[in-house]
Amino acid sequence: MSSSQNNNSSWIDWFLGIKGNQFLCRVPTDYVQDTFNQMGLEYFSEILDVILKPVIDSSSGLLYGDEKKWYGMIHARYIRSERGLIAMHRKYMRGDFGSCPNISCDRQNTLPVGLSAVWGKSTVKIHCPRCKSNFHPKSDTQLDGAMFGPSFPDIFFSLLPNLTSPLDDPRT
Amino acid sequence: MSCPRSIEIPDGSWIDWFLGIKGHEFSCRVPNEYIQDKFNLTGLEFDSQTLEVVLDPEFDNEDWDCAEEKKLYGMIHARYIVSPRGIEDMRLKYERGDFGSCPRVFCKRQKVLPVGLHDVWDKAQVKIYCPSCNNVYIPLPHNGMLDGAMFGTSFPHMFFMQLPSLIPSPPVEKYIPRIYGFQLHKKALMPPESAESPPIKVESSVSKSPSWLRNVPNF
Repeated sequence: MSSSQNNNSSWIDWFLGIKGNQFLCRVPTDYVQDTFNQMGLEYFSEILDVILKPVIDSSSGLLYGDEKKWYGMIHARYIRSERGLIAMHRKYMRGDFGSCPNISCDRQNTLPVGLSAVWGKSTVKIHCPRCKSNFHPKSDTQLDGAMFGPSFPDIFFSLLPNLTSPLDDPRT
Repeated sequence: MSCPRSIEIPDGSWIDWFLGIKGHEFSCRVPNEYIQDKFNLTGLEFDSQTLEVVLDPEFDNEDWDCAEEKKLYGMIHARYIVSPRGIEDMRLKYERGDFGSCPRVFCKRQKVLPVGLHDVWDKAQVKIYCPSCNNVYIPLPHNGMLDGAMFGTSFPHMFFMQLPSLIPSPPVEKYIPRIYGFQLHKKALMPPESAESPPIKVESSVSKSPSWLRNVPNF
C-alpha cells in the first residue's frame, strides 16, 4: 500500500481521500483512542500509531497493512454511536451512498450495509429503505462490508424513525 | 445534437458509426435489408434523406445533427429486436452479458434485458429488466443514454415468450432486517403514522427516550 505524499496529511485524511472510499465517514481520534471502543479488536500498537499519526509522510516507513481493516472495524462501531449516526445521517441526506436503482423507488436515497460482520467476506452493498432490498452500489467501491455491518440500516431507521419512507410497494 | 467529430471511422457506414459510439453497447445491428423493406417502415414518419443517411455505406461523419437518423434507426431497431432474427441477436448479447446484471444482491448477478418505459420517442431513457425478480432498474450511467423507445415496452416479455428455457427461477433468499442478529418486529419497519410531524414525546419515565437521542436534530 503506497502512502500519499500530501503535506500535513494524517493517515485518516489520506485514507478518506482515496477514490472509492466516499462511503466512509471520519472517526474522531478521541473515539479511536478510547480503549473501550477497541474492545475485542486484535491489533498491534504500531498500527494504532500509524492511524493516529497527525502527519504521515515517507519517513513513517512501511505501513503494516492492517490499518485499513482496523480502522474499518472501529468505523463499524462508530457509525452506531450517537455521533456516528448523526454523521451518517448527514451523508445519507446528501446522497453520498447513492440511490435505489429500482425505478419504483424514485431514486430513494440508500444506506451502506454489509452482508457480514466478519472482515473479508464481501464488499459493501447499499440498502433501500423503501423496497427493503440490498443492491450492488453503482460506484466502484471495494470497501469491505464489515466496515458498516449488517445491522447498520436497521439501527439507523430504528433510532431515526422519521426518515423511514412511506411504504410504496414497487410491485403493485 | 451534433455528431462528435472526434470519432473517425474511415470508410464506415452510418450504422457502424452509430453502433460504435460509447454508451450505445445495448444497440443491436439491424441488417440493411430489414431497413430497406418498406413493410418494416410502415407508420414511421421520416424524410427520404434521413433514410439515405442511415443506409449510407460510407458515412464521412460530417458534423451535422443526426437526431432524425437516430430516431428513425431507433424505431426500426425496436421492431427488429422483436423479429425472429432480432431476438436471436439479442439472445447472443444477453448471454454475453452486454446488458449488464441485476443490481439486486439476491438476484446473484442475474443477466438483464433492456426495456423501455414507453414506445414513444423522447419520453424516457432505456431501463433494464431483471427476469429473476421481475423488476425494472436504472442501468449504470454509461449504459443509460439511449432512448427507451429503441427497445420498447414489450421486448423482454416477447424475448422470454420465444425463449422460455432462458427464464430463470425466482430468487429464494429475501432480506431479513436484523439488529445484532435479532429480527425486527414488523411494526419497526413501518413509517411513523404522521410522517410530517416529529413523534410526540410522552413525559413518562417508562417511555423516556435515551438522553443522547434528545440531542439528535429535530427532523
